Amino acid sequence: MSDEKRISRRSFLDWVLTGGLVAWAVGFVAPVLSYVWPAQRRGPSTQTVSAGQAADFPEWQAKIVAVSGHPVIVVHTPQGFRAFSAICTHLGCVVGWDPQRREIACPCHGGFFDLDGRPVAGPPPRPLPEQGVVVINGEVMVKPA
Amino acid sequence: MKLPPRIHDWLAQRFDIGVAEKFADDQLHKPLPQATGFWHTFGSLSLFLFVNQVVTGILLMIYYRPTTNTAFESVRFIMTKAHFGWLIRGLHAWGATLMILCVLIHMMRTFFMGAYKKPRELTWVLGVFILGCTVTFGFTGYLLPWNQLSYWATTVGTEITGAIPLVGNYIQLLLRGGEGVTGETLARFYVLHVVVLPWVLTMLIATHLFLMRVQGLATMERVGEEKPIDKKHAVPFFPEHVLKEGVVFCVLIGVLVTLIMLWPVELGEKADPFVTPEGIKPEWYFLSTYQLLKYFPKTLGLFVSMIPPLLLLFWPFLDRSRERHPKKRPIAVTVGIVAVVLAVAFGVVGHLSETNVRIVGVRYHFDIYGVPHRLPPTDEAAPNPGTVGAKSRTASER
Repeated sequence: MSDEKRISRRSFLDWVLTGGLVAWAVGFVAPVLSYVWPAQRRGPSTQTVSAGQAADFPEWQAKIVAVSGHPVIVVHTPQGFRAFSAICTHLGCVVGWDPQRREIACPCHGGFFDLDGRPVAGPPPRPLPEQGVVVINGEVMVKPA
Repeated sequence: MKLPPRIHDWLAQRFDIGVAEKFADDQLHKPLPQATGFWHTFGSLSLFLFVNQVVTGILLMIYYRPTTNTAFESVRFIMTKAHFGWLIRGLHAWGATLMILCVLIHMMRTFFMGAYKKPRELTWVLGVFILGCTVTFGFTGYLLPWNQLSYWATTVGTEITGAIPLVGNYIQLLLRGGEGVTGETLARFYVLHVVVLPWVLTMLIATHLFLMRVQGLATMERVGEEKPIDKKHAVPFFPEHVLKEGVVFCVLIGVLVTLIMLWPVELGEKADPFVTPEGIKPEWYFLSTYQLLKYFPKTLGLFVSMIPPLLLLFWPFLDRSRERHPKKRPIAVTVGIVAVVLAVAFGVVGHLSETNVRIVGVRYHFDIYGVPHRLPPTDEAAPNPGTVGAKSRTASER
């Protein structure tokens, strides 16, 4: 090894001290960052939620129900019940039902979704995720996502 | 200004107060350039409003409870039960609006008078950070009453951060403290609003003021050709300029109280995470960005909306001409005027969008893009999306 490439004791100590300071800073910052990182994580839920009796749910009407803490819109179409996540894929507003257009509508930025959850007007970039819905003993039950 | 002799002697026996006295005297009688006028008082007004925010904020904290079950109720208590609670909250809410306005006017004065040029680039950069910090104050404070407007404005606002490429989802999760806007978000915004941001802003303002006092106010002379201030024709900081500031402070207090009395700050309905009210809009200082975001897909919109603040931040390094006088800087002044006009225009369109407005007896519906559609005289119902969700007012309609 040539003389120019040899590391002096002083520069070696500089590196060790700098490395130590960086390690100390990381050791200090990492627990703080992990502390502010959200601690709770929800696991997948398996609980179905009732949207009421099918007999009390006329055609071309919709309801918002809470499934695992998230709003879900249930629509009664002539072909049966459909359920979608009620969180607009644009900016997170909760969608509602427009009885005149017979479409799912977002009150924030004028987005509309058809009965398959596909965006048909306005800025929403993606369809609303569909959720399972079944009628058991006359009760409309929504499955979790 | 002298200390009473007994206090002076007591202090002089313990400290070398001559240094402090000389420093205070120099600052108080610092000569200011001849062109220093009323436009130069907006910086001090911003500082005064910041002090107002701190004092009224501390008073509000006495009764405010930052949880989803108590936040709304505690603000209602402040408004209805606490003595002069309505006034304290009014001073805080309207003070925030006026503070942003004063910071913006102060920045415009600095821009058009070319005061950001060498050697004051860093003072300008700190000023841009102060503006960013002030706006963040507004954003975090807006959620704290936990009403429908604040809840949904925060939902939409934090959703936008999710569009930042690669790190957006992480930033959103960190801001919200979870997937949605919940009590975790409220606690985080509260800590940011009452602990983190006040200290950050205090340090930014202190450094900004220090640089301003060390370098002095800019004159209209070319960069590098500034002459020392002629003390015979200079404006003494005390009493001339302080008197001007006193006059403007009195006017400001009058404006503040008038606003509180004529347009009292309301509370609205408690936040309901399952019902989005129609026509949710942000506070006035976000309206232009809000409207701009409608014309672009989310990520592109975020990129486009980042251009103005970045231009603002780096402007002193982009504009390298040595002239300060606005008449000798046609390009910079044109850019400034166009930026102000565009910001106001987008803001007005954002305010009008998704509303019905009667103009000279004719009713128009402004769609989400701000395009007016004439409504037939008998048609009382607005076009969609007005059929969904509960009726609500916009954030700017106090």
